[in-house]
Amino acid sequence: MNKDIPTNQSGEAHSHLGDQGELWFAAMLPAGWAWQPPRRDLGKDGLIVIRDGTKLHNIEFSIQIKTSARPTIVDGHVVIPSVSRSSVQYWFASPLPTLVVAVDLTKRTGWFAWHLDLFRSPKELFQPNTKTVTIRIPQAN
Amino acid sequence: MKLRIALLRVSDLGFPEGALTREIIGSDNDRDLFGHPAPFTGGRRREFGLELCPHDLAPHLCLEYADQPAGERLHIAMKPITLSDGEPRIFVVAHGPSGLSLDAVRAKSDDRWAPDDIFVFSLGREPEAQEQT
Repeated sequence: MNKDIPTNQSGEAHSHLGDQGELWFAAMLPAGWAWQPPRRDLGKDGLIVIRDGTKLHNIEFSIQIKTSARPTIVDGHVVIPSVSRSSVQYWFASPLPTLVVAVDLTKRTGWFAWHLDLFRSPKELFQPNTKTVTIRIPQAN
Repeated sequence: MKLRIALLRVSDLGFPEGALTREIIGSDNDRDLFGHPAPFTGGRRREFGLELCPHDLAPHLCLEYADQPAGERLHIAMKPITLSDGEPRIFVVAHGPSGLSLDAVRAKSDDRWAPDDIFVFSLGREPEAQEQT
C-alpha cells in the first residue's frame, strides 16, 4: 500500500455544504443538459449547455447555486443574504444569463430565478454603500 | 424504472489494502481495446459486471433508505462530477450523528479508499413485469 497517498475518507468525512448543493443540482439535471464547471470560481459555479435535440437545443447559460440546510422563506420568497455585490455585478456584465438557484439541502428542493429578474432597478445593484446584497427568489419558481 | 444495486466493500473487489478511485470505477483516461479514449470504462468493477450508477440515484436512494443503519456510509459508484472548486466529487448516502444525509466526497483518480469503504454499484434495470395478454 502506498503510504504517501492518504485514504480519501479520513480527510474529508463531510464536505462543504455548498459542494453538496452543487453536486445535488448537477446530478438532477435533465438528460442532455451538460454541466460544465468553471476554470476558476469568480462568482459563477458553472455553465449549462443544453444538447437535447429539443427546442432548447444549444441554449447556454451560467449557474450560481446558493445552498442552505434551512433556507429563510419570507412572504413567498427564498431569502439569500450576504451575496457578494461584485459577483452580482459580474452576472450583469456577462453576455450570458445567469440562473440563480437556491437549494434546500434538507428537503432536496430548489428554487430558481434569472439574474435579470432579481432586481427592480440597476440602482439597487450599483449603490456602493454595502459589499453584499440580499437576493429574493420567488417560492413559486 | 427500478434499478438493481449491489453494495460491495473495496476489499470485496479484491483490494484488501484499499484501492485508488481509478482502480475501482475507472477514470477519464481509460481507453478501449483499440486505444481510443473510453472514459470510466475501466476499474475492477468491470470484471465483476458492475455498472456505474446514474447521477440521480443517490438523491432517490437517500429518500428510500430511511432505515439506513447508524454510522453507515454508502459511496455511490458514479462518474464523478467536477464542481466549481475544480474537484471531482461523488455522492455519499450516510447516516451520521445528525441523521440521514446526502454528502459529497472528493473522488480524484488517485484518491485512495479504505478496504472497508462501501460502494454502491448498479446491476442494471429490473426486468419489466410481463404484461398479461
